[in-house]
Amino acid sequence: MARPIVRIRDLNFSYGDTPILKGINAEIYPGQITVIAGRSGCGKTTLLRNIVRLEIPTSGSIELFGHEITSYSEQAFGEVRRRIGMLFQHGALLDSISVHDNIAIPLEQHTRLPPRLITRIVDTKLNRVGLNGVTHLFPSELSGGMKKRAALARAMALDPEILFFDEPSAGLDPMTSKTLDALIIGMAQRFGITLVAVTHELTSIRRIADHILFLDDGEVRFDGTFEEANACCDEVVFDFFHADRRQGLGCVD
Amino acid sequence: MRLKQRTIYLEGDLVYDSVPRLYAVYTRRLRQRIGLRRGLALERIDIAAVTRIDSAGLALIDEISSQHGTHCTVVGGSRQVTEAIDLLRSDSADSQYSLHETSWLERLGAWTLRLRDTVGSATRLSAEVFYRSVASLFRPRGHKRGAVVENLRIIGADAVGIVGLLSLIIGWILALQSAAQLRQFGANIFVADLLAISIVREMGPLMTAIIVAGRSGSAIASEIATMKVSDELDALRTMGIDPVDYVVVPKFQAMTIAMPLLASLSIVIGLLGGLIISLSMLDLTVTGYTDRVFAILKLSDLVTGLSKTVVFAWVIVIIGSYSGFHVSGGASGVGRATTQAVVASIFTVIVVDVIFSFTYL
Repeated sequence: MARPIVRIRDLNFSYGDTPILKGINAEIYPGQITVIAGRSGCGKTTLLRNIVRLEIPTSGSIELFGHEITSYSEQAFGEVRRRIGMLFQHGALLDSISVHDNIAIPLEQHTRLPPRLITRIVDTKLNRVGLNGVTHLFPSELSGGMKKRAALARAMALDPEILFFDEPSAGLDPMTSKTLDALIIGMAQRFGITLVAVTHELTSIRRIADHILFLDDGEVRFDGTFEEANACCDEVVFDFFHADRRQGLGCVD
Repeated sequence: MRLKQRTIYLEGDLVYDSVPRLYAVYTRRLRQRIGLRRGLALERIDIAAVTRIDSAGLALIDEISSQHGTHCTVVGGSRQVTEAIDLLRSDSADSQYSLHETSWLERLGAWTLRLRDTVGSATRLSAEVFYRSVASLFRPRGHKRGAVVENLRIIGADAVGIVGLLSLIIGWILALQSAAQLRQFGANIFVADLLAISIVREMGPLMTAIIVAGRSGSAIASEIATMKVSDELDALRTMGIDPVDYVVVPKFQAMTIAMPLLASLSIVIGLLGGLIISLSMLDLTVTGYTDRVFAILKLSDLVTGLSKTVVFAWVIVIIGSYSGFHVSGGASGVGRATTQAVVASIFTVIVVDVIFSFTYL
């Protein structure tokens, strides 16, 4: 198998005195869709925030593209940051500027491209996520699904090698969530982008995951494919992956 | 990048790092050469020697070809590069969200309709606020106990310091400015007349209204706007509580009481400021000053002065809450609503003041 694009070793992270991540070890391989799954509060979003350096780990190491980023200064991380994209749970588009300007932010800040070319790239990206003719609108004028698409276009602006998603289907109806999943799979298959998604939506996991990292109480409880997870005998993992089965309810006293 | 026989040859990496430089070369040198020679339309962009391409490179090719009409074709291109271009350019399978562009006529129409709606709903809101404020005097319901008193403190008592200080300073300024002119005619004593009329009829009420609009008008707008943005207003509605009753009415009642009181304070302190200047710099006596003040003022002056502050109070509350209720778009929307509330209420206060001045000359 190819060299891992993200490698996490003995990662610990605490908020104050509360340990959130306890000795995480994991590898993420290029071209795959990795899902970080787990119940609410298990630390999956925190793990994601550590990987993209929104949080600094208490101890342990994280390698992105072979760079050990935990010791990097914010400035040194800038080079790496250009190669990654992040889609936040609710899109996190800036409210005060138009959709076009939102997507143009990374292009204006990180390249010296002239405005004409930036506009072209913005249009291409919006087209890519199936969002035409909304460039002059403001985020508040978009529906939840449209916001996510626009945010995805922004995350893809600089042609990142890895895209991180925090709860891609949160707050979306099943149909919109399905189209977004299709978009995610399409990106992985056709662009060869590595995707890392944090989610607890079983339907979504079933659709997109090549590789699953299952966290429980800050520890990796399972690491493998969806089929393996489904067949896994570990109690917690089994309960999670069979939580939508009707007969499973019978086991609860 | 070079130009040869109606063909632009691109080579090397067409990526984010190199495209800005290539585009500069194109705009400074090549475009001009193509433009200068008549009949030399660009026919081809040759990308045979391109090794890597990303979104920026694609944008460059599209930009160049779009500037030279429809006959320009992209040729060459290794399999890898062509595939990359196809991928970058590919549309998403479902372009379900395509909205059409609007013409200026449509926008003008939309603007007119919005204006009509604004006037309509502002009028409805004022009617509702008036009705409910009066109704709640007889049948209190739907608002927090003690909310009026609480608002009286915030709008009224907390503003005493700043209103007093500014009124004192305005009193000084008026006395000094008018004295400088009146002294030339030996008419020092008329400073008292001038101050009495101008402070009681205009400066006191107007200054108070402007301060209150800045302090409380903005607070009302941002409070309601924040509640609206975070769905608190809808939460109230689902609990069967009317947001106007719960949020606006207490402020409306408190403001109606606080404003004339603050204006009275402003008048008294403004006149006091005038007195200080008159005593210390104009050789007037306390009795001389007060006699003139009471001689020139009629009860009707005071009544007009204070009654218009009540109208100012209503203007500020209604514009503030209107801006709050009609906020759109998250955090920045709250900011816009607040600004809009302050500007609109100061403007309206001054317009109302003009109307009062014409009516009670």
